Amino acid sequence: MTVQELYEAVGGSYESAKRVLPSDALIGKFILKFLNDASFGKLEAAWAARDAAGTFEGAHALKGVCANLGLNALSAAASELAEEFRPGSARALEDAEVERRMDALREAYARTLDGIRAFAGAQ
Amino acid sequence: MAGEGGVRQRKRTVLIVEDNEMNREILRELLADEYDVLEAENGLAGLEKLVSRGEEIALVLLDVYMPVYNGFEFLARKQSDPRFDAVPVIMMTASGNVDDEIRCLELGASDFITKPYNAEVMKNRMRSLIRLRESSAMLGRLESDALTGLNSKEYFYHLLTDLLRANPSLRCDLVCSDVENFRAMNDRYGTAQCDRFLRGLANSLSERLPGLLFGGRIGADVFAFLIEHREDDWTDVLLRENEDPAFGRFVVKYGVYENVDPALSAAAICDRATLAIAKIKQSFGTNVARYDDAMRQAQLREHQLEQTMEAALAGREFVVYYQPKHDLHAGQPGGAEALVRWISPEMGFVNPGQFISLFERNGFITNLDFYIWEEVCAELRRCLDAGAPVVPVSVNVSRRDFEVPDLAERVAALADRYRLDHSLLHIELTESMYSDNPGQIARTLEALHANGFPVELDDFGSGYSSLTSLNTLPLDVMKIDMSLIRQASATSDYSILRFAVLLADGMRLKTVVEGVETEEQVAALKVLGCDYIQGYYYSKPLPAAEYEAYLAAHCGQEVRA
Repeated sequence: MTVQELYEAVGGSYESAKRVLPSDALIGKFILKFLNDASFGKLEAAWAARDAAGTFEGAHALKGVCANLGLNALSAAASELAEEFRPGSARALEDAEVERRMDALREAYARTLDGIRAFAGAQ
Repeated sequence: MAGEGGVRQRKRTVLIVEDNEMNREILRELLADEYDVLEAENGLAGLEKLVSRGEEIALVLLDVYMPVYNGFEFLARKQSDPRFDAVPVIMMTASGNVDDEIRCLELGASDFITKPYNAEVMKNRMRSLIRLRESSAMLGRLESDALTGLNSKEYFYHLLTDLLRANPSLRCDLVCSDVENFRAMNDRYGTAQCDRFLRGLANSLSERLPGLLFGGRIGADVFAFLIEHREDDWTDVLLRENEDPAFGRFVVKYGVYENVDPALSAAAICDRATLAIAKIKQSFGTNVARYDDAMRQAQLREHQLEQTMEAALAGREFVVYYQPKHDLHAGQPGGAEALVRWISPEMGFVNPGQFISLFERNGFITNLDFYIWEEVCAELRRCLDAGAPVVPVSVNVSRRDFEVPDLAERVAALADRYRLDHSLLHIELTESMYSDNPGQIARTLEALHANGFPVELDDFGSGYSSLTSLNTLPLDVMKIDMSLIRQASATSDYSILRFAVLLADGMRLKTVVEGVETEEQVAALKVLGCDYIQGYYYSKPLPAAEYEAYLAAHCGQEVRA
């Protein structure tokens, strides 16, 4: 499995990743590190506690990391959540709607991790 | 000039402040070939790095949302500290949120990059921002000294710092030159002649010094040169020229600090060479001195004393001892001198010779002196209240104390607060200080004297005696230096002592002879008509309790109220 094939499988943008990390080797190195990135866990924990500030921080961090790795769909989903909980601005969504979007995010995140694990196994 | 050839340009250092480990790793990966990278995982850790390594940080890459201190707090705190004005900050934001960006700009951020990072855009922005800051910082500095053509002090320091940072293993020596009695030359020959002389000296040293890297003018008549280290003794090149067409013979003193420690600041490096010069100032025939380990130990010791002095004063580690003076006419104690002792729990008994001159240089002596005066007043008050015998106590004043504009008023207020007759507090003045600022010192002493405080001239005959001071200061007591009594008893020739006592008599001054140790000396001083004797023959300096016991045992019935 090549890096490019991985990006196709998880719905990421290889071109975006390439703009940040100039070689396939580097992209491969950092995409594996995404398995250990704590941002998603922080977001889950903060949302479970209905901690608005923590939810913002977790979503915002996930957005940044995913953007750097070219995981654009994940980044966009995280960005929506971050904006919902941005400090100083009013909430626009019901909690139930947030939960629906969290579900979508969980599914996309799980699919991405599966893809990366498959990539890791093929190395 | 250095900086060329084998000496490489240093990598600049950037600080990454970002809580996400992965983002930090990516940035480090992208920047490591061009920069030394420091990392901090939140705003507080970033500020700590800025404080500890601020001088070397060329730029900060700052995330916005982080735990502990976020990017806004980091910027606000950085902005409030002028030390970090010159360090530019690029914000890294994933948000594209305009409010955030405006707020960061208001707090002093210079630029933005957004996640995902674009490596080339980011690096270009960093380079141009660093270049801009460095060139504008350099514009503010005068690179060259107009008079001598050497580098200016600031630029010399800059070159030195840069060179050592880029080449920490470079072996080099710092040489400082200092023209002996330059001020007198200036007065005598005028500025124009002296400027010509300095220019000539700078040129000549630049030509003569072996392995010269660069030089700077770091004081009016003080030059510093960085040279490559040499194992052989090359210093005779310094002594070759000592004649000037206008001045005739002149003397330049040189201090050499070998194998410069790259961890030191430029100022500290130059200090080491000038410290070596200070050791040979006014010593005829010795014109080159090296900074050595003994000087380093002394510096470390002074640093240690400076670090602890304030806590020591607050913790009452400074203790007043009293050395009784014996009144030869009355045959009993007639006064005492208050002497300070520093008894430190960590360092033990600190030699006053070490800390007094240090405190005179750094100005702390004034804090210490006020403390001692108050301790003495409190002691006198305690004895008076207890009905114990009391004699006048003389306290030392330092030249630095005269910089306090209302010194006389403050001393009077202190004595009054303890309800003490002013005649109980004698002001002891070292004669050599009188040459510093005679007008100011005379005025303050006049005010003290008019307030009823007797004034004693200390150390008469110890060295720089100028008979003028006897005539122009409001004196009551002359303290004759112990060197005169030692010399008199060693040679059995009391003629100088006799002269000193006669002189004091003629001016209606009481005399105190210090350093008296033997019965023969006491007998001779009685014959000479001396008034008071201070010395081990009667007593060493005593802590307060023993001093009180001494007075109780030796004072007669006549007790001063």
